[in-house]
Amino acid sequence: MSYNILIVDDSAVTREVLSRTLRMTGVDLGDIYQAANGAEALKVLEEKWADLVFTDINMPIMDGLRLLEELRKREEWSSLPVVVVSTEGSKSRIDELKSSGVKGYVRKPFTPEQIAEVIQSVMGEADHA
Amino acid sequence: MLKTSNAADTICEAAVRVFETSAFMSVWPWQSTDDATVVCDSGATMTFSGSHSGRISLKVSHEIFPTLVQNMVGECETADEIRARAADALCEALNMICGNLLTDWYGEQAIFDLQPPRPVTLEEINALHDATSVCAVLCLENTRAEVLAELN
Repeated sequence: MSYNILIVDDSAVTREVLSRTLRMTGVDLGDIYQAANGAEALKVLEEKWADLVFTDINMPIMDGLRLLEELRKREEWSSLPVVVVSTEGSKSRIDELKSSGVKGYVRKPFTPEQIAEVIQSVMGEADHA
Repeated sequence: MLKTSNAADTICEAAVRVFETSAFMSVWPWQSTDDATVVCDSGATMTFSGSHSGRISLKVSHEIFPTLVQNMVGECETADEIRARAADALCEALNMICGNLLTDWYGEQAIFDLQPPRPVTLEEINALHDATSVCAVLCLENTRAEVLAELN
């Protein structure tokens, strides 16, 4: 089964780095979409299907946590898995994110193996839900 | 208070991790035998607050931009493309160094807010950092790079 991925980050370089890394994981991927903030991400999702969202937290216009709240309001997106990609290493903040419904967390810099592992962990859960 | 020598070593470790993992670049703590002719002429800076506050800046030579951008982003067709993405790539590298450093220094329990990094001139960096700043010097793809950290 191939996964469509949505990458949400205000840094174009970060979006490209993650996109390239995703292609290096060996995971069966479909389309990879990009958005510069949460508001753009919602517009992308109105038109495209994504199986998994990788998002930064701190973004202008709409940040990652607000994006998560908006996703949960819509039935068609309420179970869309969201993984946070960030430089943060604070355990309490990571725990807070997971309590908010974030399914996975990847710390930068990341390797293809780490990205593959989080996809398998999160999508394995989603597939069995 | 972090000891200067420990702080500089920790900065080097974080920077090596970031440049090797995200940009596949060869990087090590500066050695006396390294080539000193390629100097820093570009930079980025950012501040952090929370459990502790401070500023971290990164100085590099523009000569690493093609490698940095193409390794992070992929093939760029023109020099203009590289120039357009260089600042973003440099800022992202600094962002990752800062995030990693703060956890390495203060542990996983400390909480920080990181302000977005921004590109700056060397003159601005020198004005923003005083003599108390810790400076770690690296050899980055056979050019000189410096990370400065000011902890309040």
